[in-house]
Amino acid sequence: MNDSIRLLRRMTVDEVARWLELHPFEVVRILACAGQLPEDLRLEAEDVENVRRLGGLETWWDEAPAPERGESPARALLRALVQKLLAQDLVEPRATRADNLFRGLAPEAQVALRKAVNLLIRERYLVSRMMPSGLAISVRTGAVEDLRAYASHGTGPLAMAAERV
Amino acid sequence: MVEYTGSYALISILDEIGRLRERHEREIEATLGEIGHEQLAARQALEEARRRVAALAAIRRQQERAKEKSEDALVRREREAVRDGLRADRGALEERAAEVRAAIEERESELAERLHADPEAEAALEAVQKYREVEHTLDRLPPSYRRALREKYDRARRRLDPFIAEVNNAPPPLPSHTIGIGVVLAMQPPDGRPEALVAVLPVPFAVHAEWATRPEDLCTTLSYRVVAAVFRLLREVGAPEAPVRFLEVHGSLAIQVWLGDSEVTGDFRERALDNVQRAWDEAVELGAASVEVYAAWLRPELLAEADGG
Repeated sequence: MNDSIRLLRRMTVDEVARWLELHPFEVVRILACAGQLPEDLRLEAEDVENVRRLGGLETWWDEAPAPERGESPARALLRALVQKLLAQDLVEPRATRADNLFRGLAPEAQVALRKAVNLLIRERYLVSRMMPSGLAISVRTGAVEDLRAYASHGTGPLAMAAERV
Repeated sequence: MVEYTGSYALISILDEIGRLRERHEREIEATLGEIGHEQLAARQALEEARRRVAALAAIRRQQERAKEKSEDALVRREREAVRDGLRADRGALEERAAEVRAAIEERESELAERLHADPEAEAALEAVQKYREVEHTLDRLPPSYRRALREKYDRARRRLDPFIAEVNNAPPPLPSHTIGIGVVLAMQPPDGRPEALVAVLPVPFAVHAEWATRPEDLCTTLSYRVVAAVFRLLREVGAPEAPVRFLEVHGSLAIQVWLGDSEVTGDFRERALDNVQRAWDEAVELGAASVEVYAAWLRPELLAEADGG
């Protein structure tokens, strides 16, 4: 497309999705649930922030965390994620969008973190549930102490389970 | 020789009684014989009836097997028809999408030519471009300088308003004939409280799976509208948290909703139709492309993939 035309054209849903690191269907879901999906499916640049706000989208990462004490990059991601979950006090019933956990990371780091999140859900440190805005994640009430031990000292039952990531 | 000294009447009576007994015995024998014949005939008839019942049962089993086979064949044919119909509609929509894309490109190229031929408009465009480049740094500038830049940008935007309106218009109407394409809906169970809803769209699954590399087109916007309709429907029927999945059915994009854990209120089927109808009504791009969309309810089994693939 001609650059001058691009400058004048309002944003398409997929452009907004790229900007927000979100699937376009999720953009549609957020706007439709809020009754704010434009009939012509075109958005202004200012609408991007509105979608972010309506959907509860957050960017948790600027870059992957540096490994400490000889830990693997995957375990560094797990430790940093646990720290972030606790810092935001996302203990049930409080929850965050599942995709917030990954936003801002490079694709390969996202894959590694996804495995770690699956482990945390499987081992019942995290719980997932459907909300009107999509899949949401919380820290299980009874898991806070174990997560804190891992985040602070790399100890506790999660340290053993983390060997598998 | 014995000489009778009494009356002959006694002898005559005894003879008569003897004859009566013989006659009676003959009659009984004859009756018993008839009964025996009747019994034999009844036994034979019963045997024949049993044979007939067995034969009819065998014929019935044969017919039921044939019916099952023909039902299977009919379901298979219906499935094939659904698959072929979706494929044909998908092809038709993709062709139409290419025509729309070409028409938009032509309009934009003609618009760009006009814009660059107008020195004032071109200067305004340059001003807008420069503003966009520095927009994120404006917070660091003094308020008066920031205000001046913003005013210059607003003037430039106003100058470009006719071009902006034109480029953001609905796609140009195509001179093509109208095509009708179907969106398939299925509910499980078909009647009563719904547990699952599936909507199959005549668009390639790549619209969902390859969105990052596939340009947005008529197939994409149709998908957006149905996705929006489904989420609006879920909100209306009190199931906003129902899990929604996107999957491939017969090569097409399908939206699957699990309602088994939700308390759905109201007439789900009617509301579903209302919402998809509203989606077409809003879709000016489909009208411009001479595409009419209709929704058809089908039995869920018809959406299953054919045996062996």
